[in-house]
Amino acid sequence: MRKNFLSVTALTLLLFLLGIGIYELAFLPPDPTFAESENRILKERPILTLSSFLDGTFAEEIETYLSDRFPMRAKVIRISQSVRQVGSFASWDDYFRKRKRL
Amino acid sequence: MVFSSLTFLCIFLPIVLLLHTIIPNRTVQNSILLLASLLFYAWGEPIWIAAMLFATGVNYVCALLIDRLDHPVKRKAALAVGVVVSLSALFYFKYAAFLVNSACTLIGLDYHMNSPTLPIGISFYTFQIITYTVDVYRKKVPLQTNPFWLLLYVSLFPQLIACPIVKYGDVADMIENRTVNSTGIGEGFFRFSLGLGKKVLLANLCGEVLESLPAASELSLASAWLAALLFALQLYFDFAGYSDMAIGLGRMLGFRFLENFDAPFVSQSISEFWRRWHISLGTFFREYVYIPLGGNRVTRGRWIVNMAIVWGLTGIWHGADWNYLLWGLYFGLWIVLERTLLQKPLQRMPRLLKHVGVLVIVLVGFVLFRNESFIDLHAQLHAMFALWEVPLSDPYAVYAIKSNPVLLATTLACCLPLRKSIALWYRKRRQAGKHSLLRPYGKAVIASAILAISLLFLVGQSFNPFLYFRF
Repeated sequence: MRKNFLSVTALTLLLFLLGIGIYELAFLPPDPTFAESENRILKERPILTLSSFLDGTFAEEIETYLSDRFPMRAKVIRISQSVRQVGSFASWDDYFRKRKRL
Repeated sequence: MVFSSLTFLCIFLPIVLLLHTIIPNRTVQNSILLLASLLFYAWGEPIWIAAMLFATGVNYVCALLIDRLDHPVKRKAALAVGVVVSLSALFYFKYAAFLVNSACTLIGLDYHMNSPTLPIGISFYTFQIITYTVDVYRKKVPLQTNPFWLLLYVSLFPQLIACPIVKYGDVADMIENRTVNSTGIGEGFFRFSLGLGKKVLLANLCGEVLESLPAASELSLASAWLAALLFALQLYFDFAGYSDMAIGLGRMLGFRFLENFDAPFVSQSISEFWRRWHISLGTFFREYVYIPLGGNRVTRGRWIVNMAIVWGLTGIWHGADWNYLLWGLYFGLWIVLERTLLQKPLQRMPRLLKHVGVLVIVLVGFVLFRNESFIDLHAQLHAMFALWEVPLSDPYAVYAIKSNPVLLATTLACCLPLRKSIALWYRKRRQAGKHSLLRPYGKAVIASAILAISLLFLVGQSFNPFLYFRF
């Protein structure tokens, strides 16, 4: 079991990712929803047609859809922004609003 | 499709990997892999699959002729057709417009040719199919009689649109004889996650910080060097990240690709740097251009010409513009100097000085790589070296450093040969009899963490906050 721990983890993670993908594609209501913080309508589920596939718009739309309708999207984005700020010891306001000394 | 996207991570990869792992029959397995790779390539730009199919088809036929014919002139002719057709396509899509427009500017003609849309990965798959045809000619590899298996080699999705440039000979056997096992899946996934982290967490963020720095004409000393550093780091982690992902994915499918980067920033000479940076490209140019030209077994004068050709091509392969050509020649010049005038001084120079010298030369090289306009190039180099004429610092540079300490520390740490050092440490412990409990668990934790954080960042990529909320 210990020897295979890494591969079991890998397969579990891949199944988890697939789960997210299937959930977004098959189990979400297709109607568009409105995002308060971004003041825009999040992408509705794109429809696959030959022309949309051939000119690349389907690929773009699917990616935007998966991103827009990601489960717990707002929370995920907040966490990613907090992670981004880890360790930062300067604030934009200090340097570019209040013109603090360097 | 790109590896660092939700479509790839949440749909394509799990499905393809599961199918590939479960199916026992090699033919069915390869067929599914081929269809998946073609879908991967066609995703977003389906039309250009024709260019790749055409190049593969032509080279398949040429290699067949090379193998079946005995007459040396006929064999050489078949080789020439294959190579010329492949390179002509690359030349047209990538370089024709640049050459035409440069020539027009030189002569004073008022004509501008629009660059044709570049088929994705053409620089990579053209070189790869050439390795096949040339190696069949050189009788280094057996002919691939199955055109679909040849197409599988060319279009294999881990390495089709990005580095490494996989020579046919390195994977020929694996097309039909490879093992898919749990070790490969585990280790491959770990490697893939490292690459994903390098791309999404390191390279992309370096790019973001780079964008926050002033424009070339307003750089201070600090921000000019910081910009050079960030660009070098972004380029490295982008390239190395993609290579890691390719190698990891290949491993999960049972293919063992060669390494493409080996901690280039610890190099003590420019020659060493290029043995550690984009190794597969250097190998290609050495085996298929430098050695056929005579390598270094020629007169000194001819050797310098050979070096100029090889390094000019290396530069121009990266992009169709003068700064890329100069970038290649710049490194070629340094390598020639290292082997001639600087050979004795370098032997006596202390290691630290050599290391710092290499870093400065490399950073300046990447400034050349980054700036396609000579005005910007001059402005940034001026800010970097004309110490008495530019301000020492500016708020943007200081803010960039103070608000990204973790990013800077992590990127610099990841420039070191960590994998090798850690692997060496584990081996010593095992030889000393101490078994590491952490090993499989450590890798699993690291892979999971990197994957999770990368996923978080990928979701946020389409996030466009409504700015008026702030005021």
